[in-house]
Amino acid sequence: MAKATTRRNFLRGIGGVTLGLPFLEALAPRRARAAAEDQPRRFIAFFECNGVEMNRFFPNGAYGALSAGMLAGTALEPLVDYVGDLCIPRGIHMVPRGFNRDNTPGDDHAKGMVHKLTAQPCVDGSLFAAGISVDQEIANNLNDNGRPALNLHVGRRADNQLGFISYYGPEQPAVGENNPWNAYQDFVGMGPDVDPQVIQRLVARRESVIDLVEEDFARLKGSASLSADDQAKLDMHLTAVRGLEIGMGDAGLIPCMLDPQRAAEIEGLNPDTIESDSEFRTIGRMQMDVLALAIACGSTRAATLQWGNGAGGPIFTWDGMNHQYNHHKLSHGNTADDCSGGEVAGYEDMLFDIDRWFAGEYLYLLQRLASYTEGDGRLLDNCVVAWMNELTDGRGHNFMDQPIVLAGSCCNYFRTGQYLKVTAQDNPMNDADAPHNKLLTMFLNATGVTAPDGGPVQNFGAYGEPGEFDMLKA
Amino acid sequence: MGQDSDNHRGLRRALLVGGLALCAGCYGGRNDGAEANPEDDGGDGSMDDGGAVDAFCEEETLPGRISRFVRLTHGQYDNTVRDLLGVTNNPGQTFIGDPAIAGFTNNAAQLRVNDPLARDYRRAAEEISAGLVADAARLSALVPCDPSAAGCFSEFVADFGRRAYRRPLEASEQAQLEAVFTAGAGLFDGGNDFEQGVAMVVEAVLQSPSFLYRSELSTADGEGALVKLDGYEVASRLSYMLWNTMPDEELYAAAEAGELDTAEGVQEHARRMIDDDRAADPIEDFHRQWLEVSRLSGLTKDPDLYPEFGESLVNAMEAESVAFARNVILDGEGTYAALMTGTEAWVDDELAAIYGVPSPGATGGWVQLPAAERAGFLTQPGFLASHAYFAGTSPIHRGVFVQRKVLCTDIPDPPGDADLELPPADGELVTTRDRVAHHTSPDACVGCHSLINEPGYAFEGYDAIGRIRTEDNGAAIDAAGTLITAEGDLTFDGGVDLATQLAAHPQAQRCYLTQWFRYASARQETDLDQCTLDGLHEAMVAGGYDIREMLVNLTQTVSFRYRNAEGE
Repeated sequence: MAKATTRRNFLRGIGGVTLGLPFLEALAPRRARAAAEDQPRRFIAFFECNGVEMNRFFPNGAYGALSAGMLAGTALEPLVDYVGDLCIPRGIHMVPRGFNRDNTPGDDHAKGMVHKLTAQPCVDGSLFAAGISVDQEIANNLNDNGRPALNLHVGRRADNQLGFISYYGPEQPAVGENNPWNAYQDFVGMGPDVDPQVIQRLVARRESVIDLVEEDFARLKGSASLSADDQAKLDMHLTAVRGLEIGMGDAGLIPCMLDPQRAAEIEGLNPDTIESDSEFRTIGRMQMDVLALAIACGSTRAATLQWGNGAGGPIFTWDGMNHQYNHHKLSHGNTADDCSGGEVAGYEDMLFDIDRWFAGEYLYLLQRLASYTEGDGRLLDNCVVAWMNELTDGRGHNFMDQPIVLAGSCCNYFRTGQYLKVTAQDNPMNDADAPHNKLLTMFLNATGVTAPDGGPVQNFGAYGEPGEFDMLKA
Repeated sequence: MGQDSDNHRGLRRALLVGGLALCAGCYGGRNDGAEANPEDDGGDGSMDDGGAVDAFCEEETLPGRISRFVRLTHGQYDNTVRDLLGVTNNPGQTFIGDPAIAGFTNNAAQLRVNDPLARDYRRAAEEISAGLVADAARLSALVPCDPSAAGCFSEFVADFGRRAYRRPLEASEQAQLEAVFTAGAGLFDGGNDFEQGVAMVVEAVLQSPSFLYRSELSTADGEGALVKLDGYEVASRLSYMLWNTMPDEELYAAAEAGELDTAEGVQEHARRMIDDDRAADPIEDFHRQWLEVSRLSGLTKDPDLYPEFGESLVNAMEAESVAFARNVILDGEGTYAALMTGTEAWVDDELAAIYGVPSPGATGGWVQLPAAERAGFLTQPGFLASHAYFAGTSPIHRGVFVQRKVLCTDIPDPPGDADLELPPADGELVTTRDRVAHHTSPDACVGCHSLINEPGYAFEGYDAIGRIRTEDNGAAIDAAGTLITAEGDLTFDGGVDLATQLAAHPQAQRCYLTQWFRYASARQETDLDQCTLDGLHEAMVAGGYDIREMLVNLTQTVSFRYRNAEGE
């Protein structure tokens, strides 16, 4: 009901008194400046695959306050200017646990992809997740336009369990968009420079379409008694279409528009090459521009950026790297994906270079988010950006002591500028007491999702433990 | 050796027990169907045209359940807008991809519309309508009357709506689309009011669920859960199964005339359709997915060992796999045996070199391969290269494919803590076969690997890019072995021998049928379908496993012409 009202208001705005004013400003009175705790809070997953070179990934020195010097010589060194924004937990293990310790379906790669944002087992057969992922849970609760989380992908896409981290629900993988121009067009407003008459005509057409589509859905749903599955399928589609209706121009803090020159570069991509390694870096940057904009302009409160697939990845031949073997092969230190080849001499250094490179890309995303002003601070301060990985180390397929880096306090929810061991065990490499679902629960509470009783969410996922890592809270 | 044989016997026993358990389940399934279906619905012929509900299953049975709203695959979308509107640039190729179930991306359970796809649909519809107002010839081809004649817009709506929704419009739909037509005037750049009305209708219809889904709205008239589909629903099932596109005018006319209400009428059209060029699309798509041709995409090989392996060779391998299947089925002998043993190959210069035959020309052509060296798709470089390691062959990958995809054996994934690294060639471990056998010899591995390894060894005479080889690491190739199946062991020597025996093996034949059943039905088979599959298989064996005949037969089942309304 509220949604229809929004659309009518929108149309009146277009057709009526506001002509001549900049399009989006006319449409969307900006949110009143609010106190920091009232700012919309967001979750972003920056997800890569194949694990890291564990010996040189984490900060040097003691747990506690993080200093720039502690990053020297590590893979995280590129983040030195953001050291005060980082929160680096040690000793978190994945659930369901790897190495078949929980006797759930799937191999290590399947588990690493499927469990990370869901804490759900793979379903026997499809090997897709048995439940929703944290990004979609946040979007369901907090996106007032009804949109799901924004899911972006860099590179080739697998169509099986190794290709997805986000799930709308049981066995419903959310496919990441790997074409940044499609992703951009999906939420961009029409912009202030477009002839108002052109906008008016397009809006009128979309209005006609939505009226027709809504009536068709009503007819289908009314024509016979439907099974619960079919009902849900039609509802999902209709919800998506209604999301489009108010998505014609987003009511965000800034217009949903990139700099025209940047938009033209993205439009100029050859769609036939978006899956090739040679575009991995270029497209990654474009996706991060698109993602940061979508967060900034209010299009979504949750987003994921997935680099490659589980057990895959490009051959890195840029930014000083000149590898012969792809990321997965190197992660095993072997010339073959299947470990049938010989050892790659110096592979640890190559993995370290890749880790550093990803740190640089993570830095770029933080910079993009920091470049937008929101309230009295940076947009980054209202986000938590979680850099997560399919595996701990690629060679052993380990699931313990996950390489996780958080940035942004999410409005003072996370304690930043810290390097903290959250397991009570001496050795962070354990599966005793720090299941990663507790971190997922924190993402929900940090962004403002509440339990049905209005209180904090107690537990997310089907495995692990209730509660949060209190030590990580500000 | 004695221990080995005991082991084999034990495994076969396990497989047979599994098979029996499945049969028991299938029997239960049929009983379930009968229970859900009151007996008085059975023998009196009221369910059908007097003929059998299922030509291959005598018992009263319900088919496995499927959604009543099966979304078009992106390939079907492209073909449909081509046939409906003359749009030939395949807009669906840029749509967000669909996840796969059991290797097929057309499974109805994963064909959903979420936010990103709804946006893709809108974008494509707006681009198509803008293209139409700029192309008077293509637009006027959609209009069956003189636009200046009174009521022509109404006639256009009825005609276009019928073709787009694949059934006649209801009165309320007609009225609504006429309103959409009227609203379109003045809303496009270019075109007159009438043309803009046409474009508006197109833009809206392409986003309607009645276009995007194959909707099956027929409801049960009796008390049973077995619902007979109406003629238009059958027409769509035929056209999307056999052509991956919308019905043609002959099918619409047949639906209108009631010809598709009988099994005979359906069969007649199925035969006509298989002779049409459009039949190539699903045949190519099925084999592309079943044979895992996408594994070739982006495949790399060790450049020191295989310097000739690159993108153009990969493309040639991919083209060959698909062309071979199409040629066997549509232009050749058409049997499963021919698919498994055929020696014709579509090759270009690069692929001819892999085969060691003279090239028919740089742009490709058909050649005959030596029958002693090659037999069907299992000996094609595309399969052999995509089921091999970066730097060597992989009996495990090839063997798993034979068991899972060719024989439909249920083989679990390796446990999470399995060590996937083969030991290096060293001392007594000379060949790849030695290394695989040694590595998989522990008790925890040998159960599955005694099913997997041996059929994989059959292809050791082909290297990691599909060339014939006679030696591995200096030792002679041993490609002999015994394939254990639930329906008997096959002792073989080499890939040609194994493929030739599989061609006549009932489990392999039945598995091919099952794979097609999944693809053609857009769903996994269930216990309810076993009776139909049993009967289909028997009929196919009797008829020499003719694949074209199989496609016709698949339209003569309860699963094709009816649906299961349980749970509605």
